[in-house]
Amino acid sequence: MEYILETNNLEKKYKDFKAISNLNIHIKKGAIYGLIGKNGAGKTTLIRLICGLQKPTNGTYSICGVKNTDKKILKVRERMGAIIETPSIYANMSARDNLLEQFKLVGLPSNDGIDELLELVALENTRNKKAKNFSLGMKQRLGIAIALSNNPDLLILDEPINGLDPEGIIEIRELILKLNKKKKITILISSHYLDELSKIATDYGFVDNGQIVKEISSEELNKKMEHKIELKVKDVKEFSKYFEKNNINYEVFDNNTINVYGKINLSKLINDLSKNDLVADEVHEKEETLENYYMNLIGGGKND
Amino acid sequence: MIKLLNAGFTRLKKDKLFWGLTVAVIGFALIMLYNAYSDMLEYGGNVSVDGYFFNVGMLIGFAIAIFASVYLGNEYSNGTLRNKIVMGHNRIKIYLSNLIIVSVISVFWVLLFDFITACIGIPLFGNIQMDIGKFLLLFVVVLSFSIAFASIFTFIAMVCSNKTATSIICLVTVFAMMFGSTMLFNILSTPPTTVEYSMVDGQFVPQEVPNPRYPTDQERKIYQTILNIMPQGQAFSIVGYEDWDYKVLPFYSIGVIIIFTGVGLIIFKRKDLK
Repeated sequence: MEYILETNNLEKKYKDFKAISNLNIHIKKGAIYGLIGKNGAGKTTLIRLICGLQKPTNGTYSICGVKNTDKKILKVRERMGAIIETPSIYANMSARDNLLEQFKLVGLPSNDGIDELLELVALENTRNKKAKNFSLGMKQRLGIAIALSNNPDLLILDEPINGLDPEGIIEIRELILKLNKKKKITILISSHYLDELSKIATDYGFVDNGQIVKEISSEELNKKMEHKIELKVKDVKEFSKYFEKNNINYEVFDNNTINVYGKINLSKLINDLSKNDLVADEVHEKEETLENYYMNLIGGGKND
Repeated sequence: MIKLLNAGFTRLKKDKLFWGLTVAVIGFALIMLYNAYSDMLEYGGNVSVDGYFFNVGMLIGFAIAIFASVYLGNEYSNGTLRNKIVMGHNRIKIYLSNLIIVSVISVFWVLLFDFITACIGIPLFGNIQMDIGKFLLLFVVVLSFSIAFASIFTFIAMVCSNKTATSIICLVTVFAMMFGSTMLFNILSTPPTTVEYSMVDGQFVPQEVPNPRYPTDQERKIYQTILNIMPQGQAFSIVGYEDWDYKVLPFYSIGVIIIFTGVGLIIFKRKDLK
């Protein structure tokens, strides 16, 4: 498997406090990786380490196969872009001047790409309006345009939709999907908006207490989040036999609980079961969400 | 480094603070010359233009403190400094490029001030009377302590991540240097003797006696060294002291630049950024 970013037992300590410890993350090339965790879980610390803003206390990370201890890491970073908490923009400059500044930093020989980038993030009509007068969504989009100036392979977005209105959230979501699909940019996003993440992420990493507690692809997660019918029964064996015989996707959860997956008509299922003398004590129809999955995994910590 | 400098100077063109301070430097030069000319007309006599070239030393510390703290402080507050690191710029080069930009600006302001003084002052007060060798030496002293100022304020702005704290520390530093230099300068200007009056035959008779406040040779050396180390002290020395050893001053400035930049680089390289 080709990973654009992976960490190996990464650790960051601030005096006696371990912000992250033995953290292992694996981000596939081309993925939109959703990093999920409550406040203080270590998401931003991880991003700061990967971006070179802080040095790990222990462990290593590799970007495009180059370790952070290798001098070539600076060269690799030239193909990276990031927005960490707030976009890096000069408030007293227009969108165009901000991009011009970024183009100089990248060392691009021509400024021809500025119009294209402004168009990509829908800021082409802002003219001389200074960034300080932009809405939060416009600032975020300008931040993304700046992060895209060096044509990155990896884009890191820390809480990109925090504080945005619904329209702004949709714009950023569409932009992220466009960048991933059209420009083949791998994107790491940390966000508290789980519903939003579930609309775009191809992979997830769940962080808790400075560690990745679970990495899962959206395909695997979708299977787990399928529509399910939970049956409370006295004899799981008889029910299992019936489901086996009728090719119904099921899972014995415990001695009294069986989960049945798939799009099954509940009345029909109960009817069919009763025809076979199988009567459930309780029947619950459940729709799993990313939020439920997260709460079950992390253990009910407040997701703020 | 070229990319960083290119971006830095591009940003400077649109920086209102830079242009505002440039206007302040021009204004200071014009007001100084106007006052000198008014005094000459009112009281008569000849005015030498020589000293006015070096009065920029009184202003340059404040100008650089304000510029460096706001220009570099914005890098932290806008998050643009971390953007440079994320995209692979070396921390040492980031620090040095900022130092170069602040130094170039300080040299530019000195040259601008002296250009105005030359263009207006020489026609008004006549040509430079000072020995050209000494004039050039003093010019080098002004340029070198201006760069020393730049290194001190770049150090503060790059080590401190909070823009407001940076501005306060820079201004307090320049004020402290100014008051410290004034105090030391006054001590060194103390006359070696003082006049005491004693009563002889019912009349007060003046008598010259050693001044108890006159610093010892060792104290003088210490105070002079402190003045030489401080850029603001050098600025005071060249306008107020005729027999100062000017030749050593650029070496003190070089020492200040090396120490502050060296320590600044070590701290900034290890600094955890947010």
